[in-house]
Amino acid sequence: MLQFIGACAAAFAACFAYSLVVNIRGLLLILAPLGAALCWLVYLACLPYFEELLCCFFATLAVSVYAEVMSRVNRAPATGFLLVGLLPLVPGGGIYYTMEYGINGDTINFLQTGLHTFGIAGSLALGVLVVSSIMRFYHVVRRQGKRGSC
Amino acid sequence: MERLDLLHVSTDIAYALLESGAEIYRVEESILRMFKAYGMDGGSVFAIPTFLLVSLPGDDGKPLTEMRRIGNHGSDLAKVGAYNDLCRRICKNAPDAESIRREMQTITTIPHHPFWLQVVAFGVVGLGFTLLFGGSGIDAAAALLCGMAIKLVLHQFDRFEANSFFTTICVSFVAGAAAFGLVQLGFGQNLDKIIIGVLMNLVPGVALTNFMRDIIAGDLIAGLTKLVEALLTATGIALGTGVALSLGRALMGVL
Repeated sequence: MLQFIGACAAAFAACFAYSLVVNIRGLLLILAPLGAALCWLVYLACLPYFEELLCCFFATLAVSVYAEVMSRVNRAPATGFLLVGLLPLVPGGGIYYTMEYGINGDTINFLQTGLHTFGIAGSLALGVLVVSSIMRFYHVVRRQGKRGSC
Repeated sequence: MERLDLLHVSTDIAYALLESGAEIYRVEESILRMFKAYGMDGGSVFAIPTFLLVSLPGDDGKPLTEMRRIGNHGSDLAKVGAYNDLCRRICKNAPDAESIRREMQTITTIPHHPFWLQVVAFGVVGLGFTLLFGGSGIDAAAALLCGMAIKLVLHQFDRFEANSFFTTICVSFVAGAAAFGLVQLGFGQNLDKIIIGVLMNLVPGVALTNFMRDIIAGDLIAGLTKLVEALLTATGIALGTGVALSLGRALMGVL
């Protein structure tokens, strides 16, 4: 449990700093990194039960829903929340290890890690896809209910 | 508002949105809604991350068109939010061109965080992710130093407007070399954890999360552009750190 909290705190701190880099301001400076902490929490919670790719997918779903809700509540674009919230899942490690195997001439591991990295990127994209498709559908349905609003 | 004025103002807003890193569908929808708010039909927008085309039929039936080429686009979410708000207000109140211009002027003055804070932020990103991915305390401290170093290098490259692929390669090289050097000096144990933590600063998170949203919204070309951007950045990171590590190891073998 304590490990969970420590890891989420690290995710929060790192993504708080990243929010500064992409010039997020005001209340969002707290809310956006909270999404990252949520993301890592879901990822860690899923890890004992599912395959890693599936954990990434679930964590992405959680962050996407969080981003959509927060963007409604704060009237701010969802992009910021997604960008910061998904950062812990972006496969920086995968890129590094793929490169490492590449320069060591270990072709089998190079290909395997490379494909795995693609897989993680794919499951991120898929998670974003599911939630944003549902949101678009919801918007269209609601717009047809009341026409001509902004 | 005059049609020509509307075209100019809306193109400026779309350009500013794209430059600050907004999603394509947000740009296109905002402009179409603005046209609608002023009761002008038949307008059309085409945007991809590198190009913008806005067209509106003129009073005499001749089409008015404005085209912009977009160079480097960063991410400045404060500005995206502010322009988004502005579009919402324009849709609601349909103000005249003069007051929109005034509002845009105030948005352009939204400052970025001060430089020293950004340098520290780059460092803390490295520190946080190194801890998150299982590095020790001393690894995290090394990542803090490397992160701050790459922001300084990145700043120099930005000043000379170097292209982004080349910048990524060079900056990752610096990250790899700095981390390798620190570990050789005994400052930090897990080279991989340090480098991964630091590289999270450069990783193509924006492109990766946005490209799918664009493709879903039907902006296929925009989505593919971003996908290619993500792949190129990832390749650049791998190349830069790869060269740094190979060189470092070769040198250590000689010494």
